[in-house]
Amino acid sequence: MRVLIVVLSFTGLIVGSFLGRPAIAGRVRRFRVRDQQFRAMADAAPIMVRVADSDHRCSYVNRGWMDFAGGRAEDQLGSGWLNGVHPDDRGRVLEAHHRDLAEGSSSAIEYRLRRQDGEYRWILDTGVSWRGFRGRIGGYINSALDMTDRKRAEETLRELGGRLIAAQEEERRRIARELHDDVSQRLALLSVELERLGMHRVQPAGADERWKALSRAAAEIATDLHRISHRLHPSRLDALGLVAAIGGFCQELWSQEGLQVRFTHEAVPRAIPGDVALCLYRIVQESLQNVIKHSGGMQAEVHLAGSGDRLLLRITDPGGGFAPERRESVGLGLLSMRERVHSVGGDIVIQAAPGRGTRIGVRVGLQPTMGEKQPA
Amino acid sequence: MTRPRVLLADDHGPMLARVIELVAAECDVVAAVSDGQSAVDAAAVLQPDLVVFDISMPIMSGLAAAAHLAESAHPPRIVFLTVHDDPAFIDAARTVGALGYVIKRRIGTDLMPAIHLALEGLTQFPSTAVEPYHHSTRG
Repeated sequence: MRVLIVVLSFTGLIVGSFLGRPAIAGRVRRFRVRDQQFRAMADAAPIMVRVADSDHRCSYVNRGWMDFAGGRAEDQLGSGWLNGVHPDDRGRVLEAHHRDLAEGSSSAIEYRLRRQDGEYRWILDTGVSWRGFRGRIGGYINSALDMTDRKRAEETLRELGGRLIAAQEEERRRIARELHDDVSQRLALLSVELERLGMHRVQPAGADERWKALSRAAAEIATDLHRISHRLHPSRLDALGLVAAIGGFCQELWSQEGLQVRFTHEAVPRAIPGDVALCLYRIVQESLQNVIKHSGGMQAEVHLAGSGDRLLLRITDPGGGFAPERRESVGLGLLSMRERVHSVGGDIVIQAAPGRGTRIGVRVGLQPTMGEKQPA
Repeated sequence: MTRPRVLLADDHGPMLARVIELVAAECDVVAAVSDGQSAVDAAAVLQPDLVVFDISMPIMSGLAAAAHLAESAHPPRIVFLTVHDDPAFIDAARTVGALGYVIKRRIGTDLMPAIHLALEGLTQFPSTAVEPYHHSTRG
C-alpha cells in the first residue's frame, strides 16, 4: 500500500510530496519532532537566527531576531528581513547568501541591521546551509550577534593606541633635544677646557697623564650621549630628511650588526609631514631589528617611493621568516607598527611565514595630519 | 690690515660665548645671533666676510640659512661648527657651499685654522671614514 507523503520544512512550508510506504511516514514524524526541538533551542538561544529556504526566502526567524528587529514576524519573512539591512550593505549580504547557497559553503559577514529603536547596529552573521529531507540542500541558517559595542571598543583602543604612540614620540623627542642641545654642548665645552688646561707649560707631576685620561673620559661620555640621544630621536630625520635618516640607520646596522641592507628610493618628495616621516622611520627601524633578532638572515631590502600624493615603503627579508601569529616572539613590534601606521592614516600589510621570509608594505598619504613638514 | 668681519650663530648661550672669545682674538665679531633667521637678516645688513653656523638651531637650521646666504649678492664664506659628527651632515654642509666643518669638541684646535682657510677660499673638512655602504636612487 502506498500513501501520499507530504514533506514539510520545519517552518511548515511544503517542500515536497511523493508516494511512499507507511514506514517512511514514521521517519517524517521523527523529522517533525527534531524540528520542534530545533525551534525550542532557537528561541531560547541568546542569538539571532534566521532560516531561508532554497529559494532564498526567509521562512523563519527566532525570538532573538524578533526581539532585535521588533514589529511583526511576518514582516521578516520572504525578503522582508532585507529591509532592515543598511542599504549600503544589502548588496554584500545578498551576494554572500547566494554564493553560499549555490556552493554549499559557509561565510561570516558583518553588516548593519536596523534595531527596533531605529539605530543601525553592526551584526556579525554566520551562515551555513542545512540539509533537509533526503539530504538535499534545503536552505540556509544564519546566526547573528550584535557586535556594535565590540567594534566601538576596538576603534577606541586603536585611537588610544595612536595617541599613546604620539605621546611617547613627543617625549623621546624632547629628551633627545635636551640631551643634544644642552648636555652635549656643555660636554663639548668641558672637553675644550680640559684641552686648554693640558696646554699649560708648568704641570704638577703626573698631571699630564691625568688630564689625558679626563679628556678621553669626556670624549667617551660625549659619544655615548650622542648614541642615546640618537636612539631616542634621529637627528638626521629633522635636519636632513627621511631618505638620509634611513640611509644612516642602514649604515649603522651594517657597521654594528653586519646586516646588509639594499636601500633604494625614487621620487621621494622634498617635504614630508613630520609625523609621517617619523612613522616610516620607526617602521624601518623595527622591521630591520626584527630581521636581526628573529629571522637569522643577514640581508634585507628597503624601498621607498613617492607615487602621486602617497609614499610607499617596502621592506623585504628573504631569511627565516616568522609566523605572524607568534606575537610574543616578535614582541609588541608588529602591533605597534600597525598602530603607528593607522595613526597617520596609512595601511600596512605584513606577509610572513616561517622559512619563506617577510614582506612588509606600508602605504601612507602625504596630507599633513599634524606637525611641520620636514625636508625629504 | 683690516681684521676679518665675522658673524656668529649658535643657539647655546655658553657655547656662543666661548666662540666669541676665540674668534674675537683675531677677528671683528660683527654680530652674534641664536637662530638661522636672525643670521640671514643680520648678514643682509652687515655683509660679513664669513659666518660661523651651528647646524641645529630654532626657526631656521644652519643648513637652511647657509643655503639662503649662498644666493645673496655677496655671499660670505661659511664655516659650520656643530656637535654632529656624521658623514651625512658633512655632505649636506658641502652641498650648501660651506668651506669648513668643525666638530665642537675640537673647537679649541680646529676653529681658527678653519676660519683662516675659509677666508682664503680653501676648504677644511674632517676626513670621513670610507663608507662601505651606499644607498642608491632609482629612476
